[in-house]
Amino acid sequence: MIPYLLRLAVKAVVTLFAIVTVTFVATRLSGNPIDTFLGEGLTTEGREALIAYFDLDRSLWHQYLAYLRGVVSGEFGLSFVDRRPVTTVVAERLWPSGQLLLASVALTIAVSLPLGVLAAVHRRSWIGSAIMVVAFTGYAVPSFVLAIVMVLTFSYWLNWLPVVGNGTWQHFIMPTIAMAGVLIAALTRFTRNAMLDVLGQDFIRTARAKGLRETRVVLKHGLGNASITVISVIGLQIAGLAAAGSVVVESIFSWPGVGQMLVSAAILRDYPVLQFGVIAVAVAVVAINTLTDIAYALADPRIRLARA
Amino acid sequence: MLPQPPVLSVKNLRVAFGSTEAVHGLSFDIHRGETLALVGESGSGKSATALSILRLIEREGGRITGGHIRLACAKTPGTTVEITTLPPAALRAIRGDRIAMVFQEPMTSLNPVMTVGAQLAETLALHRGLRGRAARSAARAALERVQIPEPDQRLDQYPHELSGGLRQRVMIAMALVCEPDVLIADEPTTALDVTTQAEILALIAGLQRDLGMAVLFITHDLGVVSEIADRVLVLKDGHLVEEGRKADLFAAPKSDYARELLAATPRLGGGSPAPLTGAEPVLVLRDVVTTYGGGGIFSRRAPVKAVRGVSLTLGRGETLGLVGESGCGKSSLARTVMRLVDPASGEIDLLGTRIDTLGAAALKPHRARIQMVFQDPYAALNPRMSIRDLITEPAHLHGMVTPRGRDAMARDLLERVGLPSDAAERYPHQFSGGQRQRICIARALSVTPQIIVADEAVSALDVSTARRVTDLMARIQREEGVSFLFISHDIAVVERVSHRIAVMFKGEIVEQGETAQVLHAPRHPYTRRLMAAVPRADIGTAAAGIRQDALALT
Repeated sequence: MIPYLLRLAVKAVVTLFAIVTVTFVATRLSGNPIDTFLGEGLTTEGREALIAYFDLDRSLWHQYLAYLRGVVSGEFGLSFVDRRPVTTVVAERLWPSGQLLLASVALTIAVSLPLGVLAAVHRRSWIGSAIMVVAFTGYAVPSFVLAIVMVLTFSYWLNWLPVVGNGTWQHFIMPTIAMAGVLIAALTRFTRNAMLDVLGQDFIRTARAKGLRETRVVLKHGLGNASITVISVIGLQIAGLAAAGSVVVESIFSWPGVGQMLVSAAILRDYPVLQFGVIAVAVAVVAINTLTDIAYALADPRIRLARA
Repeated sequence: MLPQPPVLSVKNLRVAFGSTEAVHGLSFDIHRGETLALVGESGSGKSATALSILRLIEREGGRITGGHIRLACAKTPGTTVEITTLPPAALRAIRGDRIAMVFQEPMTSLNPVMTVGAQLAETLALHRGLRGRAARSAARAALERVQIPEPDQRLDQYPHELSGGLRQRVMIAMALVCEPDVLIADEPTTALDVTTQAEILALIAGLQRDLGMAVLFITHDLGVVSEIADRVLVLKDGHLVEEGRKADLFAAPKSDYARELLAATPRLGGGSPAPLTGAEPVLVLRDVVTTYGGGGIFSRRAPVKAVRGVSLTLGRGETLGLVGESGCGKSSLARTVMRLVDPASGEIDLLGTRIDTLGAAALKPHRARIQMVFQDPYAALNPRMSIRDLITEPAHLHGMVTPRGRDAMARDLLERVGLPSDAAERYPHQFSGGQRQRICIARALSVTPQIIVADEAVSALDVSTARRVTDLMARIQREEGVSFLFISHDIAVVERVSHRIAVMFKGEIVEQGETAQVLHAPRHPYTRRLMAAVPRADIGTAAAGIRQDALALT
């Protein structure tokens, strides 16, 4: 297990270095970031000052090294809007985003694993068909449509739930469902297919021949094996959600998270915040993927032991 | 002496999948301490019968449509339990406790994410209420009973850490952990090498003596039957065609089908083609080495040598049999000869051209001269292509046939492999395993190769089908002078078809020569061990029974 973890750590560091470098190259490729982000209406002196501030008059190599130094020492510059360090700006947004992400993931797992298992076990009856119809429909509904329908129903007409902010637990209900919606649909389908695959295998017959109850056959022997493939998908989906889903949902519900911050930073052309925000999201994705790999190894002894 | 009542009695059993009946009224009894072999080819209903006894068939898409399955009651002697109508809870109490099963595939029949110990403990907790330390020591005893070395260590291992033979021992330990009255073994040795098979058969026979259980042994292999059975039932298409004592079946089969089956079963010492003299060599291997892995940037592991310095010669019109057990490198050698993998060193000389050094473009014309037939005829044919397109594709790729000529070529090829010419219009799923293997041979023949590499080409087929396919190969060789590199783990089949034999062990050819010479006077200890492990269908010779002593080889 230890060598496996070391490999994961090396992989994560290499990936992060690549992301940091690509972010640097991408911003420089698109021309002078001052012109790109600040556009017209800047005085010549202001422009010159900014160029000097960002070292844009120096060689690319020099800029890159300075940038790497900044990354390593945690210096990412100040926000254009309120002159605070971007690290502080992003840091205070991380926890609300993380809360929303955790709530969505918990809801997804709590709903789609049982549904997927049920759909597999009852694949020939109406129960299985009904679950799959709901899952397919859910997959077709984009999160912003789901969010808007929920806002109209539960806030505008029924006036049950608050729309804006993250003060109370009621605030969590709609954003969590909006983020989890597509994920639940996808994961239910995936769990069902993984279970169908596993339930057709020889060791399931062995388990039945032992005289085990069907519930134990399905949950212990079936889900125990299906979870290996399900985990990898959960990891990928969460990573995608952290990167993209939060932008839409946080904007709709004015959730004070990283996603909403990225949108407003783009509108305000707060370039340092934007750049660090992208890196922060990338770090989150790498972290989630690494955690997925660890969970994967815990679920599957063949991976855990092959590298030990 | 009063006749003992049977421990398990099956009367007029009918099993159906959907609207198709697979078993048409089968009856048999098994007594304590007896081994009853259920023999038949694929589709005979033998596995459906085995799965019906514990009503596992209901989970595999089938159902029992009639008849009785009666198990002698453990508590009150003389009465029986009717399994076909048993409620679920009572049925589960019998499964794994009074009747246990061992399945064919040890690789897939154990749960890969549970330790061996946990899987054994599960049964003990269920039927014996044992937990914790008591369960562990009982599980350890179960592993000891099946002679697994270092049982304590094995309990904490996962199935993938064990070899196929050890896994099958674990399966048997699991089945016997509650000392059942009946053990149903469904092709338990079919997926194993012959030497491992011999060990497992000896183990089952020994355990049966110790525990006095009844064994229902399902197999397609008459050789295995001759090793283990007391009585034999021969099934064909869901009907019982013959029943009797083993000795009677082998000495004087009553039914035509049993006679046919016996005739088709390859037996060691059944004769081989006379060696050719002065055949011009068409394929020469000199010191070929094939390695896998080791090239990666992050890999510090040394490359694995699958083939270690093999030298072989194949003459025109000759069949060279290559025998060895799984993992010995015979398939790697075949792939190397085909240049599907590149050799690490050595020379491959095909019809006077060294092909081991040729690039992809230069190699292409030579590929038509050597073709391959694979083991699994179901996986080797693209299900979406018609037979015409499938069997003329190699010729098409080599520009040996015009688009208009493909139809005529397909018909000609089909005729040569003994299939009707209207098969060209059809698709692979419409054919049986044996017919598909003929289609694969037709495909190989389309480019008029001088050499065909047959890698376990008849191993997945029933004996009578395999017999017809090897007969077809022999006819093609006679008529067209094709040379065969015939690779198989089954030394008896190899004997029947090969002019010469090469025995492969751990990547090396340990012995080669004329078939009769190698098999009558094997020089290498591995060849001797391999031959000793082959079950013999020739009952009545002193060699019958398990030759445990011959297996002992360091």
